[in-house]
Amino acid sequence: MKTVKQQEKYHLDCIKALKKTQPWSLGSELEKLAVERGDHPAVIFYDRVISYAEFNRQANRYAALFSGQGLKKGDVVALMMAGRPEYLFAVAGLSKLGIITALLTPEVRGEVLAASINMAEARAVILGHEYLDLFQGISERIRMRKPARKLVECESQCPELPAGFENLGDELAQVGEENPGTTAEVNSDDPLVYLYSAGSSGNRKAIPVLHKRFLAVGHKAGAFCHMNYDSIQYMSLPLHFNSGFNICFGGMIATGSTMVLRKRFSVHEFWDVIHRYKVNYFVAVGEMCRYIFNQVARKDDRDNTLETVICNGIWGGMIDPFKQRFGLKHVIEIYGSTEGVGSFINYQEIKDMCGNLTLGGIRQGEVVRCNFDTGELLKDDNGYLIKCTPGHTGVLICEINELNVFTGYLNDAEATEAKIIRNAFKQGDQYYITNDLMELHEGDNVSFVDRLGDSYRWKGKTVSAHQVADVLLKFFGPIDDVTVYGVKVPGMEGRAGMAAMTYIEGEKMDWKRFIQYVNDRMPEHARPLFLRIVQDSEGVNLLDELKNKYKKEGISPLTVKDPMFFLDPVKESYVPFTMETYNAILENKIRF
Amino acid sequence: MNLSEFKTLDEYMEITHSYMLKVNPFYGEFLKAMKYFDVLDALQHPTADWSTPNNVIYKNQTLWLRHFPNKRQNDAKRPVLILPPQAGHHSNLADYSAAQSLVRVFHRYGYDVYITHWQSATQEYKDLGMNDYIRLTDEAVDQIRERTGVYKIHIVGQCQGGWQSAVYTSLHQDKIATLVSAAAPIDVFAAPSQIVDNAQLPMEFFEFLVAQNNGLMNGKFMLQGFKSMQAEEHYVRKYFRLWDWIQNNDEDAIKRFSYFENWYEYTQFLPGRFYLDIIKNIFKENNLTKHGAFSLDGVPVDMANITCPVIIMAGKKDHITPPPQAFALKHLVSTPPEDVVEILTDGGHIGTLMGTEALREDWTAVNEVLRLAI
Repeated sequence: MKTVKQQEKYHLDCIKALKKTQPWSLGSELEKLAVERGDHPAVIFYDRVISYAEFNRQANRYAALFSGQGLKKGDVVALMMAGRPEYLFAVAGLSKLGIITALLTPEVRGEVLAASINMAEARAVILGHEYLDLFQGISERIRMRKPARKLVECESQCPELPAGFENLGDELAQVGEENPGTTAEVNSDDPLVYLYSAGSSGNRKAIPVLHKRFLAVGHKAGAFCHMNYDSIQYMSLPLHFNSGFNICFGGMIATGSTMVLRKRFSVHEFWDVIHRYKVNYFVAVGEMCRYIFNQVARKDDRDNTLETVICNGIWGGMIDPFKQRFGLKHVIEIYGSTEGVGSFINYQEIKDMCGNLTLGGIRQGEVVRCNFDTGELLKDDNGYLIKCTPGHTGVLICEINELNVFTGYLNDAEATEAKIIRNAFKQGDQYYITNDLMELHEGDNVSFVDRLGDSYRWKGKTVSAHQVADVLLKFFGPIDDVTVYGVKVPGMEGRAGMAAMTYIEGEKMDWKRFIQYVNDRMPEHARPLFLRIVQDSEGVNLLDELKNKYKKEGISPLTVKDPMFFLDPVKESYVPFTMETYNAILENKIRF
Repeated sequence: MNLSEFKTLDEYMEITHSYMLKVNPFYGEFLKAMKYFDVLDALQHPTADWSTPNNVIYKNQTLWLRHFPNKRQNDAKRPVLILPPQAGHHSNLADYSAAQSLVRVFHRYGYDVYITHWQSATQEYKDLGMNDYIRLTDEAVDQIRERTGVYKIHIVGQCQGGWQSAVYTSLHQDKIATLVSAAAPIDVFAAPSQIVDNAQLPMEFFEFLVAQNNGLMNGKFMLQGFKSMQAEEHYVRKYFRLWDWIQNNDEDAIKRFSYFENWYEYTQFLPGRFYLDIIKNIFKENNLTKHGAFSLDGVPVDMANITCPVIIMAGKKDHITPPPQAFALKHLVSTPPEDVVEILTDGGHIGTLMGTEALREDWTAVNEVLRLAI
């Protein structure tokens, strides 16, 4: 058994080794764990305890089933399922054949979801029974490649499936569970999954994640974030999230640790789960920590097994109180993107920082000067970018190299190219533009400031302003033009959506239909919390030009003179946004 | 009371109305009645206009081809040509109002839009027949292809424009990427409807109607036909509703009523020969369901020649084209079943073609499917 220090060194060595192509993959690592730690619990899902050996056997069934269907390396299978062990079995099993799993985002709806499925050009789809209705609702807009099988994972239930859908459980029961011979044909440079993201602008895009990145992120959790053999992590993030898939699942595979899996996060059951399974590790997004912290304090708050919390986007002022109240050893802020170029981990736990430009001796990126209104990167007389000095804010760019690979956006060369800057500091180099503003501090530490571009983060999720505007515009009726942007809400992490709209002259909004439309087509985090009815639009795209001005004006009725509406979380409808409501937000009387 | 004491006539009228309401309890009702008649009087001379800016780019005989440039987002691979119905109404159905426009829906999805604006026929064109309208459609398609450099375009037919699009596609499949047929009668015997029953009157009856206008079919006759199918609604109920809205001072509803009635009551002439061709081939002999049963300019019309993706729309409550009549197209084309999409709207006939809900829920689905077409 290795010591913690030895384990950390092992993970560091693995990260360095991954600069070159290695015969490693999710499948190969899983098969290794099934031999070395076969009896160790891999996943605990309520009362199910699944050992690594069992996990591997289940994954093999998926490999056997799809291999029998003629699917092979490079093919794509789409997956939409709640966080259940079968989700992980499917990805792992398919990966052994070199099949790429497109991890669909069920939070998006209608047209956007259909487009996500279509862009993957999947040959089959695996659906959790919980998403069958959602899928059927858009089935006419979906195009898949042959054999275009639609398999439903019924979670031991036997519902009557509609025509054209097959029961995955029945199919899996008929195949073997031996390791397939194809695992060795998959290496670290092969794609493992597609993750979806709004990026920093435009529509949702599919991002290929290589085995290399999955394993590297997992080893980083081991090397820098205290995840080890004995870790028992509470995992309630969606598995189609970068953090859920790469950090939590990747970390589990890289360290051979245990994951206590839940379908969704529940603040009410949080401590029960921690106590019941002796959980010592938790990966969260910012809001989760606030929800936990907002619970009524108890005398035994510190009486728990939790040691380490990894968090993306926690409000700086909360880290110390959070750590002290629950008696935690570590609260580590991280920063990253779904595109996955560069890793930023505040493993030294320096107050208010989200990482350092150098991680484990490997330079991750630079903070460079920019025009804050346009996002344009500024250059010196030689045509090179200008690095910020400590105390200054600029755009974070991350070096693209053999370890930090930018795989780009699937079938979208234009969007891919827009994220790359070449010859940034010397001829031949290339960097990934995050479009995130960071402040540079002494010692190359960085802290997150804001997001440029047309996306913003709300409730831990990235929202594409462009996509929200597109959905709102397609309400048609009285809406003439829309621009969407994120606004700061006092006391909240991230930015809430604000839609500035103009009406067609003489037309009125049918609010009842509008909220129904918004609810049907957008997940909760994407629904604009505020609407601003702008009266004097003079032409196409005028609103876009005024976006920065509107953004600065925020939500205060003292600065915004146009009529505003607010998505009342209690009434679940848009109501006029008044000074009284604004004050209620300031006084933290309204919970989002 | 001296008239010169009032600054404006409105002020004078207001005082007068207040006085009259005080001394005569029936005066309020009188004002409402006046308004009722004013609303109806304004409908005596309906007008037709387009809501979205456009240019006429081609004219020949009864065809004006209108181009609706997409100024906001023009990134779709292929342009869209809409063929509106020719049932006595104006072609602006596809661009009914700024808030209720099919053109706007296509624009939002990045399409450049063209519409065949069929002119009211004059004596000069009384002998144009089905073959001529397919020829004119071909001229429109070629104009678009030349302007855009796109070899195949999407064609969208509404109601009578639907069978026209289907016939055109069957004859010129090489020029069409996708066929959209909305609330279009294809197999008129697939489900009963009053319009088909009426069409079974002797041919002489229809020839008589045409002869009455010296070889032209008056749209007013067709409008009366449509109204007679829901006589109570068109001659009684809607007037009660109007009165209720006036009573309740519901200006929005009155505005919507006036806008719709203005469109509905605006009629134009069809060439008599074209009208009679339709009655015979579509409504009497159901020839669209019979492969090669009739020819246009010597070429047999056969729906089996259609091989492109097909989107068929129909309205659940459509009493003019019941859904089975429209969906029958899928059995006639050679398009693989997986490339035929059926969309059933919750609306009636006009609702399916231009209703707010259909535009938002169903025509957006058409656009999403259309984007999948190669």
